[in-house]
Amino acid sequence: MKYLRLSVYGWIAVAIGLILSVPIISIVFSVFQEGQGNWPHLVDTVLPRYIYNSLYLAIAVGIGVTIIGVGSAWLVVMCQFPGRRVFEWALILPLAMPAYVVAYAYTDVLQVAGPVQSMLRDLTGWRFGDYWFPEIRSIGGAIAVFIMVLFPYVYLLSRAAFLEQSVTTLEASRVLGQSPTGAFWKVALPMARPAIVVGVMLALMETLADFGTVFHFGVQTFTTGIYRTWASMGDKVAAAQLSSVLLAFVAVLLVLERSSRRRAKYFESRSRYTSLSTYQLTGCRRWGAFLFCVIPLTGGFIAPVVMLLYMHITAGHDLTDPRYVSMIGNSVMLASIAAVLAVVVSLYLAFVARVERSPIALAVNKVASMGYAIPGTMIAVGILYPVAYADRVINQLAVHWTGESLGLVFTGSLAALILAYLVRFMAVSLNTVSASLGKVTPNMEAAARTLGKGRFQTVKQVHAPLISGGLLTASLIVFVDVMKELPATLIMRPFNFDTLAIQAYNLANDERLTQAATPSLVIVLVGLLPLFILSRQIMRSRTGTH
Amino acid sequence: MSFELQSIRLAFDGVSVINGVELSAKSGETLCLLGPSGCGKTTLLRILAGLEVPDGGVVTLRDTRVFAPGINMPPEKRQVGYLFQDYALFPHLTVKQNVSFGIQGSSNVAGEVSDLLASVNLAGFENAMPSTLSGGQQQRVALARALARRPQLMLLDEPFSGLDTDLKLQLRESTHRLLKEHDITAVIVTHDPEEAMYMADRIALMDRGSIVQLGTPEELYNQPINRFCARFLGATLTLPGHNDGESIQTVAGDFYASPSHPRGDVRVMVRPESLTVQSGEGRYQVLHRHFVGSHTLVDLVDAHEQFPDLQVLVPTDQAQAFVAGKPVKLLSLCKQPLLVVA
Repeated sequence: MKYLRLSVYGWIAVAIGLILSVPIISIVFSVFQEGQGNWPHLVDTVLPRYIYNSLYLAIAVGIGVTIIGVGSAWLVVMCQFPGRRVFEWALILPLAMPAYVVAYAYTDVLQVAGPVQSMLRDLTGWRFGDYWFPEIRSIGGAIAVFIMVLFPYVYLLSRAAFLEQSVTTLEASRVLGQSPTGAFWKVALPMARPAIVVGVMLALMETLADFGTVFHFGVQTFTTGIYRTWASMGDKVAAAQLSSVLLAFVAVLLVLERSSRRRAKYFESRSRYTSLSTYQLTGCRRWGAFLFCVIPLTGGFIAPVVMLLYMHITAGHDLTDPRYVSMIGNSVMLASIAAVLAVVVSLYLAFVARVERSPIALAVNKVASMGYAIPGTMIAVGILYPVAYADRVINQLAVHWTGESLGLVFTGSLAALILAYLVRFMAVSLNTVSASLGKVTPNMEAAARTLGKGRFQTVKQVHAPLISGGLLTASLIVFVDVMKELPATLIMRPFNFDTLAIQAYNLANDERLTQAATPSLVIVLVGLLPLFILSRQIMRSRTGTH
Repeated sequence: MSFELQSIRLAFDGVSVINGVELSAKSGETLCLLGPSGCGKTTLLRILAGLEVPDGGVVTLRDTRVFAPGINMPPEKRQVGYLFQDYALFPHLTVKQNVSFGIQGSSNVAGEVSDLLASVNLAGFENAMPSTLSGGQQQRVALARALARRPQLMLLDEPFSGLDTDLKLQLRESTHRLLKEHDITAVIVTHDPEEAMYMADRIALMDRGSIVQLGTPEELYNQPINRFCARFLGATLTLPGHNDGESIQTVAGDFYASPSHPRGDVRVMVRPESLTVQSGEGRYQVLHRHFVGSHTLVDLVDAHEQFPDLQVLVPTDQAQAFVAGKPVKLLSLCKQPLLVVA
């Protein structure tokens, strides 16, 4: 029974954890519900295609991000070649790009009427149909976009894993007769494997969560299917049931990711790594390494940014237009509210987990930070489904008592949308806040108390200055993630409420890709902010090795 | 400042960590809590400071009850200094800000800080950040910070544990002097018996949440009440013997018997320095000799392979005589046994 001994604060934390798991709970419950009879039809017609496409995407993206992410990380950590120091931080830049923005940019440039094919026709005199050109709006195109945008997850985690490996294990393998290549395959790679798996799983979660890219490319996956069932067929139950199948996929990724994280800890070296000796590459190998890093960086960041800039300058919209001002205002408002709330809730949960000596408090934090694995489409459906039910009940009661209907209270409200953001992005915020709170050791608190400071003074003079940086970082990351978020916003936003991401989606949907560059570019620029912090940490982790 | 603990009890999750401890100290006294890790010594220190709340008992500081049923004075009101094992310096504050943390608002803070830093040999480090200091320097900053509030009771948790030997000896001496100069009552937690004997006026030896023996260092070292105490304070040798009520006969000679000793076949525990070896016919043979400086350790084996092996301590200048294979005899320099067990 000792596990159930929680203070009031502990029970409030449990309640927060329950609220944050509403989408998952309601999706699981939907399995037992009767819908409008669309479910058997979906199973017969589109479900096999969704499963096939999602698996195909996941496997192809998984292979692609592993090769590019691990390869570039190894080159950057262990080899000397031109541009290495720049690549070390620049290879994370594609993280600033939402996949759908990259998809819009490439489509505009590579489609039949786009500049590349036009130029090809002008140069050769061919006409449309005379030549073969890869179709960007295809599952292959989606795979290419995902690989270029998502490989930094694998790069970041495997780079950290390679840096953590003690030099002596690598040296031991050399002394025991392995060549540098042999040492990579037999020692470095197996030791980094858990970290690599974590990176790949994060990339695959993003792949399965994507809506904008696959929708634009006409690839039928779960997220587009859920959206269509919800928006076109209007069958909430079937949409939730479709989500429950996707939940099974996501659960597999989540389990793999969390178990690998534990194993990755096991491989961390205890001793402080001395300076890593790097291999000096020569001749064409130098340029091979350079190309291996520069191609994904160009494909995932430089080229799309240049294309967006070009599109914006030639035919973009005016950002000072009142319509844009209100969209930017909406985006900033949603992102700020979500960021502040996420940090406040994280701070509360982290404090409770620290103070309560109960495993329940830790379990709450695990549950509260599960949303990063769950696609926004699914979170939206999982929240709207019970919310619509609540609205119906409220209206029935209202009619019963007052004779008048209240209309939709929660459905299409900003509160429901912000709850969706909190579910989706609580993990980054909670992790960052917990880590910064961890810098205040229990003995520092105790020291302040024995030095005559009360609880409030201790928090003000010790905790506040030590964790403020972490809180800022956490709120910045959530802010940017909310700016980029598309599917949940699309489904849950109030009527006629547009954000920058929605505007980009709408313009792309109307085949006005060139104009979509303007909101896209703003999203990318904002997205670069947290990457500056991340790249500063990357530079420091390297100098810290000496 | 005198203090008194009465029947202090504490359990975490049903596991008892402090079982009814009674302990008190006079003003100006230095008390060491000695014991193996997990014996509850740090918990007891935290209870004194108010950082841990006991399940029951009474804590009195000077003549104020700071903990009793219905009373729990928070740590910031108890006017005690606490030196943490990991120093717990505030990483975002300079040395000066750390030291003045507890005396903000009083007059002449700057002067007091520089006096304190001078007294711990850290003058000139006012503006350094803690992370740039060595372990020994951090320890002294933490000490200065705790002393800044002029506590009359100072609690020190393993104050020298993270330091290398030379530094440990130096800081031990300077800390002892500071405590005595300012006439501060101190409780020091340590697992090192030598450190406890060096620092303490009295030692409380703890095991599994209870005080096993309380006394001066000499009492604990020379008159342990049981085998745990005997072994914890220093090395022991065990000799088989026979107690006929008059005396206890052993291979190293006869020891006084007292009515409290068990009769018949017994084991006599002695400190290694109270045994000496002499060349000549005896029960034991020399196996090896280990030169370790001022003393030499001599490994002895029983020629009849009946008694357990022994390692005795011989002054190095007398050790030349003991070559391997040579028979020797044992002689006790002291008739009083350390401990006699059945």
